[in-house]
Amino acid sequence: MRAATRHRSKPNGRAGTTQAQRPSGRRPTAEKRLVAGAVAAALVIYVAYESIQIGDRSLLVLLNGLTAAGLYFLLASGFTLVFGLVRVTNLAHGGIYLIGGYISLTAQRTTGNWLVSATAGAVFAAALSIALYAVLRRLRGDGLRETMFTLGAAIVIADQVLARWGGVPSDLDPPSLFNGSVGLPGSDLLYPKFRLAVVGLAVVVGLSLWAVMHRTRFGTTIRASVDDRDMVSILGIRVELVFAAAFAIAGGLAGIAGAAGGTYLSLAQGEDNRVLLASLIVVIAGGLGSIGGAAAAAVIVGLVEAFAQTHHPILSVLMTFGTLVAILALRPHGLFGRRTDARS
Amino acid sequence: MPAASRTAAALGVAAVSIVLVPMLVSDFVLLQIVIKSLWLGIVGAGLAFLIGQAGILSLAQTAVFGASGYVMAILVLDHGWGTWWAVVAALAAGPVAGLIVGVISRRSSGLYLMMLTLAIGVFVFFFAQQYQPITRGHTGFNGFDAPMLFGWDLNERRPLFYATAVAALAVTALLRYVARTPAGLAFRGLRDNRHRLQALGYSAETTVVSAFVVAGAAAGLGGVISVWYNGAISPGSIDLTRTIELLIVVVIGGTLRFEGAFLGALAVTLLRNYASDFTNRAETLVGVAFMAVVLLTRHGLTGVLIGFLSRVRHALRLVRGQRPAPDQEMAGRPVGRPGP
Repeated sequence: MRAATRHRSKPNGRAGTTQAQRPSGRRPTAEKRLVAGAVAAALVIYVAYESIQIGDRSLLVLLNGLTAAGLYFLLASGFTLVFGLVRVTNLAHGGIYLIGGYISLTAQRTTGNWLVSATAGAVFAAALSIALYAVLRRLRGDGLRETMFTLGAAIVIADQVLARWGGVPSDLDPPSLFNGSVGLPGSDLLYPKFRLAVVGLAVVVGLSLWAVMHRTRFGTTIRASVDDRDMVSILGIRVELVFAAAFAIAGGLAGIAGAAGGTYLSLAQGEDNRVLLASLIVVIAGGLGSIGGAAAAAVIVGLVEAFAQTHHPILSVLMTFGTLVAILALRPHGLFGRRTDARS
Repeated sequence: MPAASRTAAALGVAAVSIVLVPMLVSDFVLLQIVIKSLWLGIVGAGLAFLIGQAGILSLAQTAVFGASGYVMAILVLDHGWGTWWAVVAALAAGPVAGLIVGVISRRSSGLYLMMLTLAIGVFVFFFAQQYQPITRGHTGFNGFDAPMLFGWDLNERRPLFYATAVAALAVTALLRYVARTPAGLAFRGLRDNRHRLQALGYSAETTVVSAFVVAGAAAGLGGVISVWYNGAISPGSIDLTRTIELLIVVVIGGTLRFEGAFLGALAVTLLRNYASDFTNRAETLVGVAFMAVVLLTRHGLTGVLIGFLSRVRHALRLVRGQRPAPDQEMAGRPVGRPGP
C-alpha cells in the first residue's frame, strides 16, 4: 500500500515541474504564430497610419509616452525589487509616492530649492517604507495578510494626506535649470524641459540600479537573497537588513517619483490609486521581480497610454489594460518574468 | 449536537431575530446599519467563500455585483421589462459574469490572478463610465423603484429588511450546501494544492471557473438588493474604492467561515456610521482598525469568536467533569470521493 502511494505520488511531482516550466502547457503552433504575426502587422500599420494623420504632433505623443514611462519606471522598479526580494505586494506604494510628493511640496515652499525638496521627500518616503517593513516583518510568511496590511496602510496614508494638504490639486515649481520649454528639432513645437529631464532621471536611476545590482557586493547580496534567502542567511548575512534596504530604495524612488510627478503632473487626491494601478500594470507586464522587465514594460505601457490618450481618449484605459492582457496571454509571467511562487 | 438539530437551532435563531430586530432597533438603524450590512454581507460572503474555500483572491467581485445591478436597472428603466423578470435576469447575470471572469482568469493563481481580476474590475468600471448608450455613463441609473412582493412595498424599510434577511439566509444556505458537495471539496483542494488536485484527476481550471460561478451567484443577489436599497446604480458603485471596501469587509470578518462576511459588514458599517460622530478622519480609523485586525488576528473577527466559543465549550466540559472533546468542527466533515 505504502509503495503504491509513493509510486503514485512520483509522477505528480514531475507533472508539477513541467507545469512550472511551461505554464500554458501548449506549444504555439505555426497557425497561432501566423495569427499573432498578422495581428502585430495590422497594429503596426494602424499605429503608423494614425501617426501620419497627425503629422509632427506624433513626436509629442512619443515624448509624452517616454515621460510617462520614466515616471512609471521610477515607481515600478522599486515595487518589483521589493516583490522579488521580500515577496510583499506593497499596495501602499502609491500612497508613498503621494506623500513623498507632498513632503517635497512643503519643503519647496520653505526652501525654494527643488533638489533639496525632492531629497527631503525621498528621505521621508524611504523612512516610511522602512517603518512599514518593520511592522510587516511580524507577519512573515503570510502573503495575504501582508498584502492586506499594506492596503490598510494605503488607506490611512491617503486619508492623512487629505487631512494635511487638502483636496485641491497642487504642484511643485520645476527647478530653474529645467524651467521653460525647448524647441523640438524639425518642427516648430515646444516641449517642457522638465519632462525631458524626467526621462533622463529615469535612465540615470535605471543605470545606477543596474550598476548597484551587478557591480557591488550589496547588489550581489540582493540578487542572492532573491534566489535563496535561507542560504544567504546561513552565510551570516542579516537578511532582514537587506530587506529593509530594499524597502528603503523602493520608498526613496517612489518619493523622487512623487516629486517629479508633482512637478509636471499634479498632486491630488486619488493620484495614489492611479499611480499604483499604473505601476502594477507595468510590474506585471514586465514580469514580477525583474527590473529590466519593469523598464521594458514601462516604455510599452507609457507609449500605448500616450498614443491612446491622443487618438482614442475614451478608450485609453481600456487600451492600457488590453496591452497587459495581451502580454499576459503571450507570456503568462510577463515579459521577463520567471515563475515564482507568488503568494498573495 | 447532531448536525440536523444544529441547523434547526440556527434557523430558529435566525427566524426569531428576523422578527425581533425590526421591533428592537430604530428605523434609522434598521435602514442604515442592519439592511446595509446584510446586503454588503451577501456580496462579501461570495468573496469570502472564494478566498476561504478556493483560495482565490478576486478583485472582480464588485464588477460581477455591478453587472447584475446594471442588468436589472437597464432592463427595467430602458427596456420596460417587468420588475420580476428583470430580477430573474439579474440573478442569472451574476453567475454568468462570474463565469466570464472565471474563464478569463482560470489559468492564473496567486498574485497574477489578483492583478488580472483587478484589471477586469477596472475595465468594467470604465465600461460603465464611458459607454453612455448602454450604461448612461457617469450618472448611471437613478430613481429605481423596488417592486411589490406579496402586497408589500419593498421601498418600505421593514419589507426590504425581511426580503434582505431571507436573501442572506438563502445565500448562506447555498454556500454551505456547495461547501459540503464534492465540488466544495475540490475548491478546498484547489486552495491547498493545485497540483495535487490535478493529480487526483480534477481539472484545476474547471474548479476555478466553478468557484467563480458560485461566488457570482452571491454577488448577483447582492447586486439586486443593492439597487433596491439605493434606488440607483452608477460607476461609483463599482469603483476601486468599493472593491477595497468589500475586501476590508471580508478580511475584518475573516475567511475561515464565509458567514464572517456578515460580521465584517456589520463592523465596517457601524464604524463608518458612528466614527464621524467623534472624528473627522473616519477613513483613517477604518484603515487603522483594518490594519489592527490583520496584524493581531489570523482569521479576523470570526477567528476570534470561534476561538472564544471553543474555549467556553472547553471550560463547560471541564465544569461538567467531562473529558475535553477533540475539535468538533473538524469531526463529521464529509469525505468526498475523487470526482470524474
